[in-house]
Amino acid sequence: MILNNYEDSIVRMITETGLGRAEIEKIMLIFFESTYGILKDLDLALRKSDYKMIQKISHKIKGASGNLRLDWISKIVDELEISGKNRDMEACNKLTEKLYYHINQYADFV
Amino acid sequence: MKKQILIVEDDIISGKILEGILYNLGYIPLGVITRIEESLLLVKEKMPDLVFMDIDLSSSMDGIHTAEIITGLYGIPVIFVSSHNDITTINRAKNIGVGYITKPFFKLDIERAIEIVFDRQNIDDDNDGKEYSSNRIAIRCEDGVMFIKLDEIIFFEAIGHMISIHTIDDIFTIRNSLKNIIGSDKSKVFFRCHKSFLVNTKKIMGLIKDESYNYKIKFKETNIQIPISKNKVKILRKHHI
Repeated sequence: MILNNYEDSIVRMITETGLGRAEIEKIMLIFFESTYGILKDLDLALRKSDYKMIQKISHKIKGASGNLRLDWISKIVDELEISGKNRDMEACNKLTEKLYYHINQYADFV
Repeated sequence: MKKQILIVEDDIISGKILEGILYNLGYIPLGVITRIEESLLLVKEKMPDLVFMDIDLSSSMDGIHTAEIITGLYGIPVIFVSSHNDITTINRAKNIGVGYITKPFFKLDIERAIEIVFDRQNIDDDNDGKEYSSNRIAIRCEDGVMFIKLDEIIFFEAIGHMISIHTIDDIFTIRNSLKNIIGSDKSKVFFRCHKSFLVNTKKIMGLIKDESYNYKIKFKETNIQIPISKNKVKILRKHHI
């Protein structure tokens, strides 16, 4: 399932941006490597109940994942940004867990 | 010559994608800059033809404010990039930038946004500051192009790559240089009184000295005074007033 999604994202990127597969895969790798670092900041923001930071981090991942056509990740961080805005910690925690799961699943294929 | 484009974007992934698209479209990307201070230095140094600017930069200044500086000082057009869809942000950006694209990026959107900017610039370059032979100057405005008669102009002031045209009632801004204007002035009524000023000699009332003993030009129809370089005082007195 994840493999199909990943492949879909690559194909859509090629069609919609005109970039080559090798170039896209290189950018995907940078995304997953950098997102691991960002997730640590997200953990810290959750522990401190820093809703502003949660929104900021989600917004940043949303832009990058949306641009990479990683729709599942993009959808989760979009909801996370809204939950941060609504100061809903329970939802923020659940969505972060979900985000970790998907990032790990995708990262296995990159 | 290939146009050079600078990307100011703190999301390095989006920046890399945009850089790749620009390269494939035949432009020269000057890199992805993540910090505002660095972007301002690079703009000054490289003078790109266009800047792609992210609105949400993690800095004390946002992308819109930075674009105001780049456009105001250097006359370089800016296309905004954002994942924001709220109308307030878009309207704020529209007042400064010449284009606006939202994430995710599509090659076609980017290609069109750039074409619009460069096409518009060609119209500006073709029209702005031209038509001196018929004693008028063309200026791009909201409704298209308008003309000002040369004898209505009091002086021109150079500000970066832009020029302010001062008349009795209005100030207009065009993208041009004083050198171009004086070179095309067939009436020969305009005099370069200072490195940043070109004055209509028919409008001059006289020269006055300020408290620092520097000369200034006084006009017949307005209280505005403009500086004159010391070495130009004699020439102006001898040939023009």
